[in-house]
Amino acid sequence: MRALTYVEIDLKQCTLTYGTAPCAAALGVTGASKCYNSPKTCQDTENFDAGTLTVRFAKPTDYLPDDIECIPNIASVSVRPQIIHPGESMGERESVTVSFDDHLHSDAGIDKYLTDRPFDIYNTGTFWSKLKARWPFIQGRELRLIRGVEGDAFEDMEVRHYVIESTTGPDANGSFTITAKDILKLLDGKKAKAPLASEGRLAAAITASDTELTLEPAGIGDLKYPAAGVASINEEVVRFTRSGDTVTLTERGINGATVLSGATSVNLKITPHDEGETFQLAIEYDGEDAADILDDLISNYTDVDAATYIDLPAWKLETETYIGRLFSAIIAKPTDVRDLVNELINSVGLVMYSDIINKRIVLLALRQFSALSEINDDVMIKGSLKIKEQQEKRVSQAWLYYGMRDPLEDLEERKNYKSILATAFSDSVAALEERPESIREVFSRWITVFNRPAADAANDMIVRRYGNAPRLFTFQLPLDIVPILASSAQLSSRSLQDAHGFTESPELVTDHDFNDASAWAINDPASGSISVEGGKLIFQGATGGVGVRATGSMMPLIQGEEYILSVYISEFSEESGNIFIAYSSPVAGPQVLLTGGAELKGLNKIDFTAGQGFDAVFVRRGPTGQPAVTMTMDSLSIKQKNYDASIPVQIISVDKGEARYSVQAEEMTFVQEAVTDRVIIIDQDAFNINIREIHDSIYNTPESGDNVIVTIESHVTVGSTTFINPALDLGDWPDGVVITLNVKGRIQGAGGKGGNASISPSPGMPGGTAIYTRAPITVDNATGEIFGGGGGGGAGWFEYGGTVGGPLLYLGAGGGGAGTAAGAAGINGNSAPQARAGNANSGGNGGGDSGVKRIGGDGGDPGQPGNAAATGFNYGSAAGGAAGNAVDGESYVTYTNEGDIRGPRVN
Amino acid sequence: MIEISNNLYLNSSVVDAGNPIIGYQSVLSATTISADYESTTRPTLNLANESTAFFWESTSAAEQFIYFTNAAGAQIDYIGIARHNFGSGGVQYQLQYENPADTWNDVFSLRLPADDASIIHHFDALGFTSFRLRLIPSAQFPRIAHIKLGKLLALQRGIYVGHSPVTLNREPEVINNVSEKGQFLGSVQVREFLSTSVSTDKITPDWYRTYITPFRLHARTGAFFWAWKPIKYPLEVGYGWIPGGKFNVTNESPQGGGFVQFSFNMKAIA
Repeated sequence: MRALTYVEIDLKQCTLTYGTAPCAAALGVTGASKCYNSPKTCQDTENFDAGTLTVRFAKPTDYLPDDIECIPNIASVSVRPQIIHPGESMGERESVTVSFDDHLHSDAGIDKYLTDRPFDIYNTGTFWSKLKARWPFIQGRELRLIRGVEGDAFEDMEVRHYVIESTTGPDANGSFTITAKDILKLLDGKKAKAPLASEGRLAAAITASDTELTLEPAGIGDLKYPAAGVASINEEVVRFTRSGDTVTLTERGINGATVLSGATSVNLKITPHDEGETFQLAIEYDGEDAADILDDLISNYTDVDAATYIDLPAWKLETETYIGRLFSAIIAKPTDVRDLVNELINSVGLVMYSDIINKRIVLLALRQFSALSEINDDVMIKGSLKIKEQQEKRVSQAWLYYGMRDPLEDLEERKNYKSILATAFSDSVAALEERPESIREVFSRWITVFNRPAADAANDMIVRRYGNAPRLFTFQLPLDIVPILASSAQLSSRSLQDAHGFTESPELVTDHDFNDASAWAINDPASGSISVEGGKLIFQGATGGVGVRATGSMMPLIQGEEYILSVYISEFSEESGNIFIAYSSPVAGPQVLLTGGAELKGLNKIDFTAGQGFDAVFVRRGPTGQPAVTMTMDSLSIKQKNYDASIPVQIISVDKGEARYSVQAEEMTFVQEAVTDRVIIIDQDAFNINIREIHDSIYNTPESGDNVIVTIESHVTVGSTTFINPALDLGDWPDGVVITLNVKGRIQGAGGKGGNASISPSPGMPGGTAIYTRAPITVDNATGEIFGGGGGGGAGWFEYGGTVGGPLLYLGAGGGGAGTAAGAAGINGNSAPQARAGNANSGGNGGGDSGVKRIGGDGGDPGQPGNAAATGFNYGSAAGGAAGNAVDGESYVTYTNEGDIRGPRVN
Repeated sequence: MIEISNNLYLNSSVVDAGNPIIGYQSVLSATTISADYESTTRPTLNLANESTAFFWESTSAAEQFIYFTNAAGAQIDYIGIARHNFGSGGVQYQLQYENPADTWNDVFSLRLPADDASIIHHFDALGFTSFRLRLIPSAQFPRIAHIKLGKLLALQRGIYVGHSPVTLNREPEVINNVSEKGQFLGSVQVREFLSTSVSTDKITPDWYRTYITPFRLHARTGAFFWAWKPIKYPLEVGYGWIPGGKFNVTNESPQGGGFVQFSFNMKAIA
């Protein structure tokens, strides 16, 4: 086998002919000699018609095929492979450095006007010096590294695609060097920012209460801004709509903390702005799939050819299958796209890398991949295995900051987050070893305050993968053992031993021999067939019955011992087909260990604890009614678990050289929990939440059968800023979605305002609703509180000994009802004491005193109506407000525990 | 003229000597060669430069000619052809000269080499101003990397003990793969060149100065045809160059009036 190495670069070359229309260049007019069809030498730049000139180079060798056009001037090719950082970042970029020798050259294939040059082309100058003079800027152009062996058709050789990053030379030694990187290099900070810096400015100053502004320079609105969106002005983030250069601010200070002062809220970020301040367009992602966000960032804010490199349906299949959550953020100022992508990878648990051969950016969820191969001393190149401890990667606790307050603040400003979630690595061995703490902090703009499940998942991913420092393995493989980047494998070697000194499990139990058909009993052949041939078990099940089954006897397993079943399935014909593998026992019956369909292709390893008397294994098709299936099993074995020193690894770097692969693999103990229930955790005080809206901001569209579990954490209150709206609105849901509400804190409607004191006293306002639902829901309120708002107290008056309305008229306001937020007191009259606002636990007292009794009615306690004002001779009285409903939609609710519920429950 | 093999044709004077021969001198340049056909990426001017990486290639399988102009009427006694497809492509060739005008005479009859190795074709010196190479392809388009047309240099002495014939002295770079358990995992060859070193002595000083000094000047950067023992091993013809242009010459006699010896290393293609 004789290796061949080629490199191609694509130069931008004009397709026109000098002086031929539309090219208006003319000798003696636009130049003294003809151009070289390059941008640099073009004499009619307006008509430059861009095409591509591909120049191919080769590593010189005696056996270069004559039929592959090339310039054999490559001195060396050095590849530094990309290294993926699963769940952390895009990793390290792949870099190829090609050194070329400079040399004489005839310009054939380069210069269209060879015969017009009035000098000896071959002996004038050198190849790279001339090329560099004609194409001084080739950064960003494609470079391809092509490798094959003698006899390969050129189109069958492996092609690796890069983007030229820099060049050096040609130097005094006649050496010219090109360095190129993989496509993800285009996400770097200098090359890509999102959003881009905006050009529009405020044409005039605006006040804190203005809702309209005008942009300058004139016309910039239609040119650079969408019809609606989010933007920032100095330190304030606003939401807007736009027509021409006129911008209407529909929401101001959305990055500001709202401080409640009585019934009035104050936003500290809403400030006046000066003429000339930049109206900086922001990017808003509101409950979007991570794949969609990454696609948007890369497609719209980098030079990556997204149509070629991004397979969005494949990305979304991955994220919808294995992530199932949505993410939100406002990017309010220009930020490196690389940083944004890395943050998302870190927050979501993704793997992203360049598929350099297929020109794809690959996006995977960080998950348990099936081991596709076993790598051992039979195939590893002698002396190549190196093992490195990576204690610097160990994580004893993961702290995730989420719920970003202000997108204009620095990402790593701790006070800029509403929540922090700390997750510790729990391991008895680590505790015994008294390992020192190693805390990893993650700051996530992408996880909203209500998306704690995502924060949980992110932390969990970190501590599972890095709780024990993963070892890094580097080794080499021959070219016919192809390692696949990001895939997993099972690694064993004499260097990897368990506590007993074993490198792999001794044959304690069995290693089923597919070369010996007599070792297998074939049952129920009418429903299909099983044959043992060529070292493989070939299984063909007909449509329908349970039927076909192969049974192999084995040494009895030891009851209670842990074992590992290893099965390698190379073929599986039907996606919907099904088999199962079980161990049978004459005492306890079969124990199913592995069941499934096409997803079982590859190596499957299952841990199990042996039951009583297990002495046979059988492979059988699935339940009745399965479609026809053909399955080929290459190997099946059992090993005692404690004797297995092989290591599950994820391949994080692959470098294909001329004769070998150089591989880096990281130990992988990570096991991801499947996303099943859709969990929503409210662990921050909040007002007027809509569960469906929260759900949709963190999960994909719900479907019948989905389980949605909402938890209001203890010490958390969900309230309402107004009695008009409920504190918690369940929202609209498709039929069949199962919703459970666990209330550990409090859900409380707003308190009603007290009536205003006047000669015509006003009644108290009603309290607000706590829970509103028109969808079936199960409520567990064992330790929680569901309180309707208290009604406001009614206002009243008392006339002391005279005509009503005379000088001795005493006015008293109603007290505010209990609630969150509490009801304000009514406007007080002329009689002390002043009416009081309610609070979360009780209504406020009414105001005014007739000398005999309080005039204004007290606000209602939680779930209670407000009291009417005092009544009697010479008293004027208004009614108290109605109690707020604890539940509106009672017939939709099933209680597992009712707990403390105060207020009416209505429909 | 004596035909010894498909790669080497010698006239009687050189046969008598039997010493190594070098074809370095050439009257050709980019402006003195033309062809009936040429491809865009492999034009005729590639024939004149000494690079074997860049070909001339015809675009026709019909009988055709490559024309050479020897304007000064210099004496020419050989044609050298490097990296061609005459053997694998079944291309017959024949050199002709023009005398008188419009009358073409054969320098030698049509030849068909057995392989694509370099060719030195030596003949009695001719001083005509126009030559042409007649090509009769069978199916493939003819392809040639380089042609020299000039005066052959035969060394004054032969070389014998210790010399490695360049066409036999291949330098492969091979990576052998063996597994940790000692299994053979296959080998991959990543490169291969031909190389040798040439050393000769008992050269008279005047001869050296007359014939080797110009060759040495050329070989600093140029390439040449080489046959180390043309009578006995006529197939062993190479087209090579001296790495770095390093050429060693030393005086062999104490008084400086006797003989000199010279040596050089050489890399080549067959």
